[in-house]
Amino acid sequence: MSVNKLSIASIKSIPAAFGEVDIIKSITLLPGVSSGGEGATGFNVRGGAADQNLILLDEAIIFNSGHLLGFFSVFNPDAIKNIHLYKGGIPSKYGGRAAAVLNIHQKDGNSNKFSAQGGIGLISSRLLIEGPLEEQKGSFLLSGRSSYVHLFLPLAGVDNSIAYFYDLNTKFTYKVNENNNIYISGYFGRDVFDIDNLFDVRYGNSVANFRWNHLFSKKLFSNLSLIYSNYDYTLDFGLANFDWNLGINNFNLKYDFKHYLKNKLSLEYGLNSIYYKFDPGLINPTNETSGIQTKKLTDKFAFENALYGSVKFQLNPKINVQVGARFSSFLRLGQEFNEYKNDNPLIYYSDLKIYESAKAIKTIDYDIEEVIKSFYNLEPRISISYQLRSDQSVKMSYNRMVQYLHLISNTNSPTPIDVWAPSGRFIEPQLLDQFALGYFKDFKNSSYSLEIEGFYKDIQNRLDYIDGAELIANNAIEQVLLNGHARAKGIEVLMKKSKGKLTGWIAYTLSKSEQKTLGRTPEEVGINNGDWYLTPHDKTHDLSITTSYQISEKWALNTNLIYQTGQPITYPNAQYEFSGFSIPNYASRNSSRLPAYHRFDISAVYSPQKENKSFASGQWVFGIYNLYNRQNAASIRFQNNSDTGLNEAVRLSIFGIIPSITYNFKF
Amino acid sequence: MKKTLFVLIGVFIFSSCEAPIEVEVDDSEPLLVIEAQINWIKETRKTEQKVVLSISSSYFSNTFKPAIGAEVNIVDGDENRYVFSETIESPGHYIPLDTIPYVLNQELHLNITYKDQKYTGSENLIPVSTIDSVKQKSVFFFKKERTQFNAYCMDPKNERNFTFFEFKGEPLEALECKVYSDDFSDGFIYDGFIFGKNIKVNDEIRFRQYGLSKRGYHYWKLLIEQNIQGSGGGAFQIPVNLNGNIKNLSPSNAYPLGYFRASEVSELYYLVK
Repeated sequence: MSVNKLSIASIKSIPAAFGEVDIIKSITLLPGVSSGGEGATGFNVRGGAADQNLILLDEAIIFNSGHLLGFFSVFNPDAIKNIHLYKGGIPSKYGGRAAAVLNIHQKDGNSNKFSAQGGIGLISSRLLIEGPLEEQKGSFLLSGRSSYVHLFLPLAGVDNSIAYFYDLNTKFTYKVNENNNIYISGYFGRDVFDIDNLFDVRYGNSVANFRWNHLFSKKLFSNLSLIYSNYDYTLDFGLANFDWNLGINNFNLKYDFKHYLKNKLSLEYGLNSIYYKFDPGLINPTNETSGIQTKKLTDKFAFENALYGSVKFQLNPKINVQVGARFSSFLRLGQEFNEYKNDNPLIYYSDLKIYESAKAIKTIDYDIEEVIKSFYNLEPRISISYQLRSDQSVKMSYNRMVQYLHLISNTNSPTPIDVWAPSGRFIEPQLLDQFALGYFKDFKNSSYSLEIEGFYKDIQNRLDYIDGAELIANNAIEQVLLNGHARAKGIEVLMKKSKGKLTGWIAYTLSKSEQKTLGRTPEEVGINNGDWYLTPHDKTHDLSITTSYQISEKWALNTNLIYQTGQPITYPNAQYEFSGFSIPNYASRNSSRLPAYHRFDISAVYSPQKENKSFASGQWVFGIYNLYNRQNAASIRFQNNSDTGLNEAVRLSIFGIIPSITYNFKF
Repeated sequence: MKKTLFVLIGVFIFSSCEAPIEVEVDDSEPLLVIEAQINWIKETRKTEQKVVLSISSSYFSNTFKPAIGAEVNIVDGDENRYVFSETIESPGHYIPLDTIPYVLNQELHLNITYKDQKYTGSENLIPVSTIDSVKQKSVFFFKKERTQFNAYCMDPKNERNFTFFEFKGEPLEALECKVYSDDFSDGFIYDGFIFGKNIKVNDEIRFRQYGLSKRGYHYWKLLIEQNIQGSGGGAFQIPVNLNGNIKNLSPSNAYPLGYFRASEVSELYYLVK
C-alpha cells in the first residue's frame, strides 16, 4: 500500500509544459503528492516538505531535483526505466527522510544491439545511445540532454544573459557469470545562470554508483553498492565583487540481502553507512575593490549508519504481513563548535517578544575523529494486508522514520541555494510516525481499480526559524532555529482505468498539513504565537484527471485536468508609515491563500508507422499546456506603488498558455 | 535579496508576468506606531531629534493617522529628562524642548504615554565610521547605462559594527537604504553603493550612514528586505512582522510598532561629475 509505480511510458504520455517530459511533475498527478507550484523545486508528499523526500537515482541521493530553478526536473526521461514512490508503509531498507521515498532506476543499456533515440524540443534536446559490450555479456548506455532556451533570451529583450542546463546519464552492465553481475552508473548535471555579469550561479548534482549483484543460491541474493553523491553550487556576485562555493558530499555503502526461506516467507536485511561532508562554503573577494574579505565557513562531518531487517509472511491465506525495523545512528564528528552561556544559542526577550542570537562565549575545536553528538533510533515498520475477496483487500501500515539532515530554508518552497544542516548539539533529528489505512478493489477483470487511503502523520523536531533569521552564510545556524512540531492528515482516492483504448486515472486528495513551534519556556511565544499554522504545502483539495486515448494506430490524445486549493500565504492586516516607508503589518502566518490553481493540458501524439524496411522511427508530440490560459498565481506580493503612492497586491503568474512541439526519434 | 534574484531569473526565462489584483484583507486592531530618532551628524555637529507617533491603518487605506496628545520624554543615563512637545504644524510630530547632547554610547530611555498606555524603549547613541569618499562610475545593466556611486568607509577592527546607509537626491527615484554589518570585512574598507539613472553633472546626492545596534541592524535589514521583496509564495520568504525595541508597559497585548534609533551620523553631499 501507499506505493505508486509509474512506467516511463505512461510518464511520457502526460502532457507537459513546453513538451518537456518531467518525472517530478508527473508524480504530482498522483494522490497525496503535490508541488509547491510552477517553478518550485521538488514535490510534497502527504503534507510533508520537499526536503523530507528521499530521492534516489540508482541508489544515489539526489539533493536537488530541479533544473532551471525547479521548472524542470533533473531526470532525463530517456535514461529512466521506472520509478517507485513510497508514501507510507515504507520498507525498512529505506531511511533518512521523514515523508517519502522516490526511487528512480536508470535503464540498462540494450545488450543485443546498438540503438539510439532522442528528441528535439522547444527547451531542450536529448540523445541516447546504447548497445552491447563484449559479446552481449554487458551493455552500455550514454545519454545527454541540453537546453538552449537562453538562445531566445535576446528575442525577449534580455541581453548579456545566459540560463541553461545540461545533464549526462550513463550506465554499464556486465554479467561476470551466472551468479555475478556488475552495474556502474553515473549522473552529472549542471545549471548555469548569468545575468549580465551581475549575478552568476552554477549548480548541480554528480553521482556515481558501483553495484555488485551476487546470487549465493537460488534463494539468497545480495547487492553491494558503493555510491558517491555530491551537490554543489557557486555564486558569483559581480555587483558586490565576491563569490561563494559550497556543497554537500557523501560516500555511501549499502549491502542488501534478499532471502526466500520458503513459500510465502522471505527476509530482507542489510546495512547502510553514509559519510557526509557538508561544506558551507568559502567566500572570496573577486577583485581588489571588493569590501569582502576571504572567509571559510566551518565544514561539518557526520556518519549515518543503519542496520535493517524485515520479514514477509502469510499469517493465513487471507492475511499477509510485512514487519521490520531499522536501527539507525547518526554520529556528528568533530569541528569547531561555539559554546554558549547556559548552552543557549538563542535568547528570548519577553518584554519585546523577540528572539535574538546569543553571543558565543568561546569556540572549541574538536578533532574530526571525535564524536561530538550521537543519536540512536529504532524505526519499526509494519504493513498488514487482509484479503476480503479475490478482488478486494484492506491494508494498514505504520512506519517510523528518522531524518537527520535538515534543509535550512525559510522560503515557501526551496531554492537551489538552500543549505543542508546535520543534526547535532542544537538540532534534533526529525521523527515521523505515520499510520495509514486503505481499501483496494479491482473491477471488471482488473480493467478498473479503486484505491482509498487515509493517513495520519506526526513529526517531532521540525525546524522553524525566528523572525528575520539570516540563513545565508550563517556559520552558527543554531542561533536562529527553534524545534517545532508538524502533523498532517488526509484521505486519498485513486480511480484507475488501465485497459482499453481509454486509460488514465482520477486522483483526489483531501488533506491538512500544519506545524507549530512553541516557546521553550512558558514565557516564550515561539513562532506565530505558538499556534498551529498551515504549512506552505497544505492543499485542502487536490484533484488530477489524467487520460490517454488511443484514437488510431497513429494518433493518441492525452489530457490533464488539475485543480488545487491555493497555497497558504500570509496577508497583511494593517499598514503604517515609518521612516519614509509604507510598512505592512501581517496577520498570523499562512492564514490566507493564493487563488485556487487549475489548468487543462492536452497533447496529441502522432506516430507514423515504421515502414517495413525503414531504419528509423519517429514521433511527433503536439501539446498545449494550460489550454484556457489560466493566470495561476505563483505568488502575491504586497507593495507600495511608487507612482500612485497606494498599496497594492501584485500577482506573479508564470506559465500562461504554452503550445509546444517535440520530435522524438529512435533507430 | 539573493532569493529575489532567483525569482527575477524565472521572470526573465519564461513568459511570466505580474499584474495587480484585488484581494480582500482583514483589518487588525489599530496599533501605535513610534518613529523615534536622535541623530547627531558628526561632520556638522547638527542634530535631528524627533518622535513621530501615528496609528496603523487598514492595508489598502490611504490615510496617515497621527497620534495626537501623547506625553513624550527621553531620559539619559544621568537621569536628565528631555520633554518633547507636539508641533502645531505637524500633528503627531514631537520635538524636544531642550536638545539631547552629543554623548556617544550614552543610553537613552524613551517614554511615551498615549491613551493611558505607557510605552518605553532604550537605545544607545551608536557611533559610526566617517564616509571618507564617494566614487562614481558608469555601469551597464542589459545595455542600459547607470551610474554607480560607492561611499567608502573604514571598519573599526575587533568590534562588531552595524550601520545603515541612506541615499537621497534628485538623481535617485526614491529614498534608498542599505544595512551593513562587518561579518566579512572586520577592520577593512567597506562601501555602500547605489545606482542612479539619467543623472546630470552637478546633481547632488546626500550620503548618510547611521550607527546601529545589533538589534537595530536586524530590524532595518528585515524592513528593507521585506519592503523590496514583499510577501507571497514561491521563493519568497515567509513575511514576518517587525518587532522593534519599544514595549508596552501596560497590561495589554497591544505591542507598539516602530523603532527608537539613536545614531551618530556621517553625512557627505556629493556633486555628480
